[in-house]
Amino acid sequence: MEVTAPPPAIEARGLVRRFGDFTAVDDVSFSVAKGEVFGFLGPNGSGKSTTIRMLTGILQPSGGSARVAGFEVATQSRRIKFRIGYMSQKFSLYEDMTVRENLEFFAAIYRLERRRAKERVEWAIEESGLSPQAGTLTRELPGGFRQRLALSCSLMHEPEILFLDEPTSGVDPVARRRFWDTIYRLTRTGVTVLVTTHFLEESEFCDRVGMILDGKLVAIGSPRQLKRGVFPGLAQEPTMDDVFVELVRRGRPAS
Amino acid sequence: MRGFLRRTRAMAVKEFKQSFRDRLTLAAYLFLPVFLLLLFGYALSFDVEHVKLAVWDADHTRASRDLARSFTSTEAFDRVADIRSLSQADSLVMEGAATAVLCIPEGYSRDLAANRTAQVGFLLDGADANQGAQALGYAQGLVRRSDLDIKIRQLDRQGRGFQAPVETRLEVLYNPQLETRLFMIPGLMAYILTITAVISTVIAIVRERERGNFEQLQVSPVRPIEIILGKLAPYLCLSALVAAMIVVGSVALFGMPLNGSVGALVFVILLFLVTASAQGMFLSTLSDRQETAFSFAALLTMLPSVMLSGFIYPIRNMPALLQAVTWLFPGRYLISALRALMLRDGTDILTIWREVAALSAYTAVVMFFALKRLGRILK
Repeated sequence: MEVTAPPPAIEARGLVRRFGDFTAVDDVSFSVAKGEVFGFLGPNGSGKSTTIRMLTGILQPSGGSARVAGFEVATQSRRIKFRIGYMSQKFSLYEDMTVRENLEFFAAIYRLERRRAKERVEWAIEESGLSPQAGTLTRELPGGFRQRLALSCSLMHEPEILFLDEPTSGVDPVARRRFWDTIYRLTRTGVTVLVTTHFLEESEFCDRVGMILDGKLVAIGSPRQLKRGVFPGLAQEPTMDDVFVELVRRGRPAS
Repeated sequence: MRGFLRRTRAMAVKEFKQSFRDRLTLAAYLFLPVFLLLLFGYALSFDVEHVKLAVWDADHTRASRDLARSFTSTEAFDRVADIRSLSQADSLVMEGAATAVLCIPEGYSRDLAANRTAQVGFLLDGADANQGAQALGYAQGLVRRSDLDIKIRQLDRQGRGFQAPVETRLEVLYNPQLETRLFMIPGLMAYILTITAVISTVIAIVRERERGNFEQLQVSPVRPIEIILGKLAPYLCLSALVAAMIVVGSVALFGMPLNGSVGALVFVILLFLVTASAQGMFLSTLSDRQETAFSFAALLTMLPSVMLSGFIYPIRNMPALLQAVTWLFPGRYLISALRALMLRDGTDILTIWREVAALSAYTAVVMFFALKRLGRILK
């Protein structure tokens, strides 16, 4: 008897997004299994963020379809919203509110029951190590602290799937490392993570990586698979840097 | 439903906190209306008083002096100069030292005594048409009065009694002194309330978009109606506070009467604040930059509340097309309701039902478009 695999957490089928004449995302298909850390790798402007914005319902696709947490993005976006968390490089926090107020706001927006909301706020403050800063205005926090707060805000409602758009940009290496530790702890509880980054070494933290170039998904696989696929028979293990440069070279032969 | 209340409340609490944290803006919201009320309240009056009058009395008789005095015994004219020639009159008016010149030629009293028609000249600077027209009216009235007095005295002297053929008894209702200020204060109130309600709400949504907070709301389950109601709450409280200050101020400082139903007054003002705030919200959804939103607000709400509301320019004097356009701006409904409720005795909510209906319909339409527009951006 055939064993049916559990439905993927994220499934994109031929996603297209055009802005006028410009095609930002061109026929992108992939799927992410539950509990997987999937990384989108690509240069700035390659279409990573646009893809993530379509999957989270911020942008409407021009073509194709996608399912997130088992629901159609186009028609069931409201049910999806309760199940996903989203954090962008902008760390969209309310700068004129304190750390605690930001957390309380997002807890309430996600309809957390009052006692539960209180617990989650305390948990988030504890977990992100922001106890001394709980009453500080967000605008006075340094970048690394903001990043942790932004992540906590997106986790208030314990989402099944976490979308992270360049979560580590503008953050020092220590904070970046700490951030990834948190992500790992999350995946152990079954959370699926889709993360975009242009830090190539970060892709080593991902279970699987999709390389995006000029809106097209040019390669997909685990970091090891990608390295072997691009440089077969190479004695010395190449870095993701090498893989990336090689793929860009093949993708844009003229330049 | 539980989620709706929870999210709307969260939105309102957030907005309250943010607006109280920004003390400077908060102070401006409260201070600006009072400043406008004082500034316009004292400046606003189209009543013509203290017109600068030069007198050329070439007759030098008791009769001519009586006539000249009858002008300056009113508030309308101030005697600023006595002149000796007509050419002097020209130069005074040209310099702006005098606005009007009363010329009583030699032979004025002689003509009167001889029962001939005496001549009096009145020169007027028409550059300020409103002041000119009113001064002319006063002058004609004054001359006619003295005309009649003289006639009566003459007849008396001849031993014949005189009965004026018609005596007009005037009674002015509601604004007995016909003060333009009482007529204009409701317009001023509408103007100030428009500014307060629109400015505080017009940044509400565009600010979140500009600062990038909106994206986080887009991925959250919050609905357009929850955002709008949540954001409306604090700014409505603020505008209501301003409205209370404005009403008290115009009664205490400018002697505005409160002759009609106060309950109806409070109701129609609150209704108008909802309308204007909804307008602000709608404009806020139209642009992604605060500056643009402000320009929209200035052009589409503040300017019409001065020009097309009946505040300064009477609507019935406008060309038909422009009159039709005034229906599109809520200011006119509030102004006519305020005038009725403040100036006329015995007015209540039934007197102003048309205004209430118009404002309610207006609010519903604007809200509908604001929600639709916000839904589009949230999606």
